[in-house]
Amino acid sequence: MTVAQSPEQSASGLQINWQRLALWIGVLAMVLFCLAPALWQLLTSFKVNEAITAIPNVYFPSPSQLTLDHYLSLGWIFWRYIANSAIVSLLSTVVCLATGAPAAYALARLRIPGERIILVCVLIVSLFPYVLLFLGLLEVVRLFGLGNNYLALIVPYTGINLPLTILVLRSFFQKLPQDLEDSAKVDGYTTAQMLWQIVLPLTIPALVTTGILTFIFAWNEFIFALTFITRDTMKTIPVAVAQIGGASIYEVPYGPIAAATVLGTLPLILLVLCFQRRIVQGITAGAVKG
Amino acid sequence: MTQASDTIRQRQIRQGLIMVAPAIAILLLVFAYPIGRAFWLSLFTQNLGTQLEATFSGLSNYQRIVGDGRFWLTLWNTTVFTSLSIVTELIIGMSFALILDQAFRGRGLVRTAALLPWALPTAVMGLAWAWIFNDQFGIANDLLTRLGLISTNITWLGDPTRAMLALIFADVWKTTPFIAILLLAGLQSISGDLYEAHAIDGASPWQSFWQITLPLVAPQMVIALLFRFAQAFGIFDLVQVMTGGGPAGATETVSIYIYATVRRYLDFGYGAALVVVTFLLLILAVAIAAYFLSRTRLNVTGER
Amino acid sequence: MSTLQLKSLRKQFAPDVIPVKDVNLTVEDGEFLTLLGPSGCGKSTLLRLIAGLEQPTAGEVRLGDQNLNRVAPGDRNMAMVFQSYALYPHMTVAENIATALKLRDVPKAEIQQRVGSVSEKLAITHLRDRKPSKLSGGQRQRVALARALVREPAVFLLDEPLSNLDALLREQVREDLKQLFEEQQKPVVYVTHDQTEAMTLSSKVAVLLDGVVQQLAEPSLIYTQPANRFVASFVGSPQMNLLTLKCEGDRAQLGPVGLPLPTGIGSPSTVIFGLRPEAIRLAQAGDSLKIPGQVFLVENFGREQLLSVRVENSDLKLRALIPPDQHWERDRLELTWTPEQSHWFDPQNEQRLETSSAAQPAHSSL
Repeated sequence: MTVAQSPEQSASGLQINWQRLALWIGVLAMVLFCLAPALWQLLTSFKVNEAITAIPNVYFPSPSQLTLDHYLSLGWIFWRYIANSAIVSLLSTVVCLATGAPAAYALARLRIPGERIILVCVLIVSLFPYVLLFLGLLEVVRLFGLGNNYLALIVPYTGINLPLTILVLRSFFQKLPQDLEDSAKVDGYTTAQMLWQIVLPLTIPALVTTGILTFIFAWNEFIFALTFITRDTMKTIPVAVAQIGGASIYEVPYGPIAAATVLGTLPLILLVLCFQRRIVQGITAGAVKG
Repeated sequence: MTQASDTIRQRQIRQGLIMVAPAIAILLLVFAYPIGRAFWLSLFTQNLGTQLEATFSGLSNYQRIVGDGRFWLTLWNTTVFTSLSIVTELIIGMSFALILDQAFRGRGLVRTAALLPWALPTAVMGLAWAWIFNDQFGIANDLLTRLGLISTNITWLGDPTRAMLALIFADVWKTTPFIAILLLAGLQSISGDLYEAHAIDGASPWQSFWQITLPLVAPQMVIALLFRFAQAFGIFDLVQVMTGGGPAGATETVSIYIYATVRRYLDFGYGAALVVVTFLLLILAVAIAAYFLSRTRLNVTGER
Repeated sequence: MSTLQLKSLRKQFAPDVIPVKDVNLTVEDGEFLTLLGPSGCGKSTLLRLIAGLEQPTAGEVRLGDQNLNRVAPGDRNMAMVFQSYALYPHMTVAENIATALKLRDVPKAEIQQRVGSVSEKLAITHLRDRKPSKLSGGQRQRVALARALVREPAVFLLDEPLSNLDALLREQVREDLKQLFEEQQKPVVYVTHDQTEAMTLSSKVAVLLDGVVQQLAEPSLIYTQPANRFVASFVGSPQMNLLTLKCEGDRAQLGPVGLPLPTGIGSPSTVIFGLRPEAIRLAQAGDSLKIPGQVFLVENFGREQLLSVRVENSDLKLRALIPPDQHWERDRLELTWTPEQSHWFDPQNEQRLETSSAAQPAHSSL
């Protein structure tokens, strides 16, 4: 409590505060940068048209400027879009895990000939932009008469997600103790039984991680959905939302678009909120293992 | 007890091949067939002029590419977009990673927030960005006006340069989290001892960053750049939704051009040739990046 | 009934990586064979070859009159206990024990009965519904044993099953193991790097180095009649003294003293002389052999003390294990031993030099 001590204390205290302050400013800027566009869209979706087009912009709308009309204007068809996205994403995730897990296991443990070549190809292929594929796939879709069929999306979505699935699952399988599988072999498990009864139950976290990534990528895919699906009732969220504006030339319906954005991305936001750690783990495992 | 005629190893290989077969089949169908088909189709002319019948025309499609100013413009646009956005993303992503690497209260929540842009559909968020950069009612103009940086609203998506800037800004927003996550993983793998030893040697934090952090996260950086390069080079949905390639083709990327060639002009042969050229350019770039990647890995292990 | 036989077994991973080179072994019912050797000697690979987890480059694994080379591990009717125990983490103890029986379509009632009796024998009945993560190291080890025993297999394979236990527990489990497998009357192959385990458990020990069986014999013979310099140095603690001595006529020169060479080994120019520290004692007045030396290190183990002695007029060092209550003046003392306890090895091929006086040891060589 002496007078001599206090300036020193406050000086050193101030020093630490500066560093923390800089950190918190950084954190704040980062959060703002990441959330602001989404929050602005959220706000827009609740504002009445007059508030949306007010100049200067309305950041804090009064209760009279708020409405649910934009959500109501989307109509029942929007639930159809969400259902389409959910069906396509879920099914392609399931198929992707069902075909990717055995492949990943074989590439992790069974030392098949050509293993390295397959892995390198899988890695390279994961870099391909989808625009290079849609032309050839369009022909396949036409050939099998799959236009406006969920299969026209499920198969390509499985394909584009398989590289990541294989690489991530393989890296998880390799981390399993080899003794467990040896023990299972001695106990009399066949390879298929071992995969199903020993390996997969032990790698459920990895399957969840991969499944979430696959689901998100499938939900967000745009170019295939735009090309292979033309019937309105079959459309998935990204295409449906992008085409809301196309109805009228003179007045872009900002409110409904914003409402559609919020509804259409809600499942993804929930996934991120619940599985943040797993998603981060998956992204790193998929890329670093390359 | 089965006394099979082939060895255990042979059976293992056969099982392995059976297990990879479905995945390989799908990969072949979704990746190999379309690319291979593009190579084949690029040797034909198949457009409205030939009544959509494929007629063999040799390398004429490629000759046409050489003289196709629009293609070269889109390639230039793509290059500008790709290089500017991945450099910006790398810098911002590095700052994000450095921040997320610190210990502070609520880090989990901040990480969740930082992940959000990555998870949202590009096409949908492209609309949000178009709204933000709206000439009349956009928040971009509003904020700039409030800050006193502009006095009258400026045209964003209608102006060639500013439209490109808006696209890059939106892309940076969308994909910085991906880079930040990869770099964060790299940062977290660096032992704290290294920094302490370096600090004892008298290094400032700034020197530590350049002499320890950067060299040691170099592999993650190259991987992130490689992935981002490929994605940015094939950017489609963001441009399609925000500008549609406009104004006057100023933001038209290669993929937008390919898509228009096939879907709007129904020029399948030429579209295929464009696919082939883009594919080859990409493979070339990836090969160069992979070469550097193998070198950085060597360097890092050497230094360690 | 069942005899496990390894015929010219060889495993080659790469041109210069050959963990198992031409191994021939036979293990009969009720025999407990230990594969003993330092890490990297090929003992684990050999065990995995027997189990079918690795495939031999050449040679055969036979059970009875059946060649097992093409038989999958699960069809070999062998049970294996792993060093890490390899318990399935997602199954309870009871499920872990029962799983192999279920795969073989053993009737439910019988499974229950067998799992029950094995659990009782190993005193793990109260753990049956726990997951492995909730068990102590010793408990896990017993579950792993139970999982092997319940199968009543033709052959038991054990890969360092005690190495993850702490020292106190290890001693007790060693005794249990011995009893347990004596009851089974089946071939047992046991891998360890711990010579105490090898000595106490086995009916036969195969000492391995570089993929070659150095000696195959009863435990006592491995100790008393090591077949070569490596076995001599690997078995026994503290290590056997091994000195290269110059010979003159029928005497090998150890410092100032000429040790009489045993008869029957001719008159080599040099020889490797081996002597266990525990064979050495302080010389007394009546001893004819007296090696004078200078003590330069004393390590007291409590029960005994280990002296490091430099032999007078030489650079040769001997280590001697003597009772803790013995004393000597200053640093100087005189050591002695009975000549029968010395070992002689050829300096070139490092093989034991057989003396005509000693009985021919019954080790079946390679």
